[in-house]
Amino acid sequence: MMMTEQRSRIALITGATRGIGRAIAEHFAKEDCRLALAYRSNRKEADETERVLKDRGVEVLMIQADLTDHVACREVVDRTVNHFGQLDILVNNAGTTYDGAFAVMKPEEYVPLIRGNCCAPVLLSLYAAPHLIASAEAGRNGAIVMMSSMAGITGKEGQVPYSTTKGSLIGATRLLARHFGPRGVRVNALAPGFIRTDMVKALNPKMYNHVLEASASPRMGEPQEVAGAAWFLASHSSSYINGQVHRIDGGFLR
Amino acid sequence: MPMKKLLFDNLDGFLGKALAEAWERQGGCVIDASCRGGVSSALSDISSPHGVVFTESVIDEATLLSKAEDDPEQAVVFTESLHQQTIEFLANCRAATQAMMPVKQGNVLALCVDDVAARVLGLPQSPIINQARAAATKSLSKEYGRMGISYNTVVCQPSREMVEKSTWRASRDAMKVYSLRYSPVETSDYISFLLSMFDGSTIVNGGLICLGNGVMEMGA
Repeated sequence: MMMTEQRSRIALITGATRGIGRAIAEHFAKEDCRLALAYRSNRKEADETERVLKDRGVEVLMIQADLTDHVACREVVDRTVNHFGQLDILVNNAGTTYDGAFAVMKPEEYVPLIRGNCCAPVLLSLYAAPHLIASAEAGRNGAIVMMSSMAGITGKEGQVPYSTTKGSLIGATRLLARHFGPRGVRVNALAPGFIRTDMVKALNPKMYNHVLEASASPRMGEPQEVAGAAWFLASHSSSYINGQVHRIDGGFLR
Repeated sequence: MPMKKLLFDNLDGFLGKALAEAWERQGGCVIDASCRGGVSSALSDISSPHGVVFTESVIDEATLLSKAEDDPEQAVVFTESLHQQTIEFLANCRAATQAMMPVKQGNVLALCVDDVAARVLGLPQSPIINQARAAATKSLSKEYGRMGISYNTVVCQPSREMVEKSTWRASRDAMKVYSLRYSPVETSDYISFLLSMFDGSTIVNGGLICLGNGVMEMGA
């Protein structure tokens, strides 16, 4: 089905007030989407994001939610649909990390990571699915974009639980694509490498230099570069791409 | 010479069970952790395990997903299952690593069944847990490979014996999509390879090894 009019599409983006999520929100706004933006706790960042987008004339619904709670996942989708009347794009961007030597890590330290990084995106996708199917049927190109990670593909020392959750998202992308693809909903994933966000700010200079040396494009990525790819996967331009994982890592050929 | 001990998280999976039987036939000792309170508990009772094997998942994620689609409660059941399996796998990997670190040797093997071929043949599909296992073993090999511990994930297409002959016949055309004149691999051929991963003859650590004929999604 041809989709020529992207205006009036509704996007729900999780973890949308900082880093990659914020960049995605701003990019989708430029593409005339109306936005439901979920954030966990930082009210100040949420207010700032809302203000910037509203100043540009974008209709925004801010939703505070702890996505490690399955009830909150349901409410985020319900509030989005109740407010806008439809949902066309889900970007499962929210994620956290817990780094350290795995052998001495306590399970209670990484349990929330698994709920938030792995279970929440699957739950949100399931709750959003009926609306995305309706979107596809209406020619609005229902799509899900998962935010995996290079660590989920290649593995990463010091990030065993994080990479595990990001690996699981790759499997979830394929499972959901297979399940919902016949009804017009596409599910794809992005696997960013070293992107200039708070999550990689702690990178020591030695590691930073290693990243540069190992990359075909010897620099860190910018959140906006991930946002462009997220829009591509959410838009009609990628209408024949489904169940795939796309690395955005500057050619990190480690 | 003490018997080399291979610890299995359970013997529910066809391939895991076949590997356990082969290990015993060649004089090794098999320990089924599911009969001893789980991997962590079993590891606290035995000294110097030669290896720990996580047998293939028999939970069908596709079925759970189908049930979850129209039922919010089933959606929670599905994700709780994922959560539980992931937590358990990580806890078991941690216990295995802690047990192997003092002796600076050991092998951790995660067995998986390729979800594409499984789907065609009507077997349980577990792409989420498979990919989680692959990412975890890659990360662990990068972190603890230097200590002489190897971590690998092996993804097998269903072996000939895992599926009825009539199912193979009925699925022949579907499998041709992946490989013309598709012919399933015998379980014994898989087992020969898997045994080599425990005798030191296969130098691989952090591998995601796909076994079978034709294109498989995880290896792509």
